[in-house]
Amino acid sequence: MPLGESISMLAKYAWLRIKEQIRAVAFIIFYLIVFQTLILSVPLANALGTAAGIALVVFGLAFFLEGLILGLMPLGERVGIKMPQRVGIGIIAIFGLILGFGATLAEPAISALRTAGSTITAWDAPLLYMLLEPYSNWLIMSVGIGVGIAVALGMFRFYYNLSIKPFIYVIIPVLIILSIYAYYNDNLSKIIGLAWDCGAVTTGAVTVPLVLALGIGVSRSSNKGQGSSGGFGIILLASAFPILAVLSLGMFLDITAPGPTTEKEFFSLENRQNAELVFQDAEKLQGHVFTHAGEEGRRAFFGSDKAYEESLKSLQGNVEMQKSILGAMSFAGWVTNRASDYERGMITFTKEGTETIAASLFRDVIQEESVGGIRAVVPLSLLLLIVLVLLLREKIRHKDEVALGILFSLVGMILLTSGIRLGLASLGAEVGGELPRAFAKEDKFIDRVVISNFDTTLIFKGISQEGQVSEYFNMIDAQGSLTRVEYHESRYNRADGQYEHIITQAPLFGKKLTVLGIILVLVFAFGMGFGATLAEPALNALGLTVENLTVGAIKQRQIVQIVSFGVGIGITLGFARILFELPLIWLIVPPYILLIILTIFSEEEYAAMAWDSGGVTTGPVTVPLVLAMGLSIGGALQISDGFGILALASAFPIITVLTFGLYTRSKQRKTIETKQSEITDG
Amino acid sequence: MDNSDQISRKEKVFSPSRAVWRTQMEKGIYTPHRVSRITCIVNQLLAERITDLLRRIEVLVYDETGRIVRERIKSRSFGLPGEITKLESSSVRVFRFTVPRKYSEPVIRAIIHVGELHIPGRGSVFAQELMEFSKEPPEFNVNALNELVFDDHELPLLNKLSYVICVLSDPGSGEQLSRIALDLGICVPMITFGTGNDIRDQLGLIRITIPAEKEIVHLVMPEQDSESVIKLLVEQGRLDKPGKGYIYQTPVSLGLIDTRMKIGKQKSAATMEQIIAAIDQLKEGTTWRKRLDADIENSKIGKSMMPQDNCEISIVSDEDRIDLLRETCLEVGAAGATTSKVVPITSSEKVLSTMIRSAISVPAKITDEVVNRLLEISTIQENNTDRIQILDSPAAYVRSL
Repeated sequence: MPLGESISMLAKYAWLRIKEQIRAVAFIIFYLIVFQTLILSVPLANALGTAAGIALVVFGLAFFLEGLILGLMPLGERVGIKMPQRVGIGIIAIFGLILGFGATLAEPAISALRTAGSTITAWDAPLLYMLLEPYSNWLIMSVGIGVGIAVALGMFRFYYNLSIKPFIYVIIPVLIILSIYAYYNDNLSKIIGLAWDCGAVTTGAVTVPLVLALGIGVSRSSNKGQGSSGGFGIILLASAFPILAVLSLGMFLDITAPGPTTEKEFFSLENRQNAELVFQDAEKLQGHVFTHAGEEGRRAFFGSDKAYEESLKSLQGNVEMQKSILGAMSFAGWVTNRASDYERGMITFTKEGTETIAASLFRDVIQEESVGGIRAVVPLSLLLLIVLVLLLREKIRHKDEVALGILFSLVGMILLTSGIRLGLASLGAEVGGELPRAFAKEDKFIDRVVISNFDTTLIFKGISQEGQVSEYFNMIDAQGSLTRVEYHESRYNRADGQYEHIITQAPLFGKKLTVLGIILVLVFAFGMGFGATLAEPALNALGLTVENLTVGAIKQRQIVQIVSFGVGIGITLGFARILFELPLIWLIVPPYILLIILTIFSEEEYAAMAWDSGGVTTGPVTVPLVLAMGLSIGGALQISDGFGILALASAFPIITVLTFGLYTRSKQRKTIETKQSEITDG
Repeated sequence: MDNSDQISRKEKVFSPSRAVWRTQMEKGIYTPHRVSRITCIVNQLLAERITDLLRRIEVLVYDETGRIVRERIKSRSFGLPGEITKLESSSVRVFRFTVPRKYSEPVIRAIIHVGELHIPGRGSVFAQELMEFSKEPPEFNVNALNELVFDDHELPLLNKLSYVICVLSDPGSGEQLSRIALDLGICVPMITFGTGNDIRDQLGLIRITIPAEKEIVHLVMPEQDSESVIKLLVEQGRLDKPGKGYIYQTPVSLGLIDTRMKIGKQKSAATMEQIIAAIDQLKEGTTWRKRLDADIENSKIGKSMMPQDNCEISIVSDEDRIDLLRETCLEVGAAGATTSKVVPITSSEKVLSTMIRSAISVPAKITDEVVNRLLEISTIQENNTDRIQILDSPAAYVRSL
């Protein structure tokens, strides 16, 4: 074939893929930008970097999906087809166990959960803190075991052609009952959100398509003269079992874990033994008192005021100590965000200019994400190849295509996750960071400026319509422009002639219109959930599988939109939970009861597919965006954790998909069930 | 096997399947069986009833998933005047199996009765006479069929039908072609998926830029319409351009066709489809329907592409044999096998379920040789479920590269 023709073929092929992904991400990007610039009226920061990140996301998605279609999915299906023909169910189940466990280690969703839990305070939820910090390895292991059992059980189901419904009818009520039980235990009630979120995030972008393809293979090949079959259902199990595993681990650790208490009591010297049990490390405990606790906690921790003040002073000058105690948080960040007014007064500290993004950031991110990408793609692909070649003694068909596919997935994964960190997540965080202003009642603290040699003669007075007199002075800021500033007597220190000026930002809708603000946040949450899910690669792979299995009767785009709509609803409710501090259990139990009812009326294969689509929704695109926003809002409202949003984001798509299924079936029924009287008799 | 059957009813000068018959009988290794292949297309929701029946009469069925496309007529939303027509798909199952020729009619009637297929919108069923190579003659439990008693009135079945198969390469073009068929009021089109490697195999890794997926549109229509319809489809689907796909027609001996092409809002007491069905029944045939005029026949396509005398060979085999099969076909110059996944339905447990059905349209002249080679590499002597079926295809429009 001539070179020119090859290039034109390649260009057409690449453009088609990229166009598809541009369409997938267009909504979320447009939405975020419109929201930020028009509604929150904040200019885009680092627009160029964000644009580059978004471009990476588009290329990443295109490569990753194509890689799945060329390499990983055919490989998975082939292993699935061959296994029941060559080995018994025992070995298949063991393989499932290893695959599930390995996949969890390969795609560690735990880092996302840690982020979600970064605002958790050890005194409020000691058990939750233990699971996320000192016992995080136990958490990963138990989730891994949960996924492993789920995949093995899924294989079992396909092998013996069992219906998925009994599985749903057993495991979901068990989970609901366990969660209700946990709700009535002070310590356990805090981990419900974590447990359900673990279920939602464990099934990653590589695992889902792989497990799906594998399931289709096994179910095709174990089908003994039964006619058409599906291949769905494993992802559902892989979402449910980790919940069970995490709740069980929680119950086990709860035996020794101390219960929730107040900040002061937790850090007090009398409670030190319990506190160290939670942290397993004295230094971490000290870090926590600085990064998470308030002044009261720190005073309790040091026992005496003197020790407390001394350690504060020593922290100020000692960079080493700052690093070891504050960890990732900078000292400046600590002073602005964590320190109390009293502590700010004790520390003479002026804020340096905003940190500029280092030029090496781009390279660092790609380097870091490369490691993550290799970890996610390579071991799983190798496992499949080894099983296929060594255990099943099969030749690999289209070796070159498979190799190219794996390479594409790897490149795609790296570009995608880097792009998200550089572009999408920072855009999301920017918007998320501004959002609390929408419902805030009070001015937001931005910065603190100390004016030395303050001259009180510059103060002038103003009067309102009601006759209220206020004092002002004019201040020249760093840019040289003149602004009028309200004068507060209390901030002027006569002794050293310093005036402390606090720069604040007014709430978006003034001080009273919080209802509008809350509605705005919820609308934003819906759109963000919807838009981010549209771009989710695992969901796109699932949609493609559905389209192929139904020969296009259900289109990929259709299923992706229905699922995204469900995610939008789920995320909206998740944010409502944070805003109104609703117990998660209220939001989890009713939908799942509804789901069981819907499942009873749904067809077997459709039910399995719907439940699976719940598990695929939370992937590399949605999670960082949702977390960024959840955390900023949670932080603004001083709420302990951002858990539960992801769990809701995977419950509601199941509802929308099942409902859609029932609707289409009833429409089909109407088509085929014309009344006998309408038939013309010959 | 039913030897009392007449050899082809067709008054054709040369029948490739007859040539195959003669060659293979002389060789005496593989015995061809004269059978009827019954194709039954039913809505997913009715599939269980049909599979129950087919299990009872103990035939080996190959099951494939497809979808049918209909036009849905809706009023415009927000009370705006007028109507909109949308294509609407619903999942169907395609059951294919073979029975001895003389039983094709009773079996079809049993299916119609069980699935109530005489109600428009439920499905189609039709029989094609062909020659089949398999280890055993088709299994069939006559007693079970006789046990089924119908008190139905005699429903006249249609004959002189034609089964037109369009294999298309561009994704989404199946829908486009279906719309044309629906607009012309030909029949309810069915779409299935397949893979075909025609030119991909000859390329290097650049082959990934060409999709292997094919959309196959199945149309069953009155025989006398088929030629002009095919020409129209060739023109509209640009099938005269290389790499777009091809189209061929095979004869149907007997059948009942779903006539419900439109669903939704209706204005008259009976739909046009119901009227057509009623007249078909009264006239006991479809000849009265011919209405596509000579315009199409005089179109450009009619001159540039001539129908070829072809033969359809369908091979049912294990999925693993796909590569060998394609190679063998290519060696003898028969490119373009389109492969679809099928699942056998049978009462016996010992079957492979990863089976495929490959259909290939080959020029009549080389049919004999292709069949010869395919038989050599086939596993029909070992596998009960393997099949090779040969069916004359008098009009095929294939544009080779």
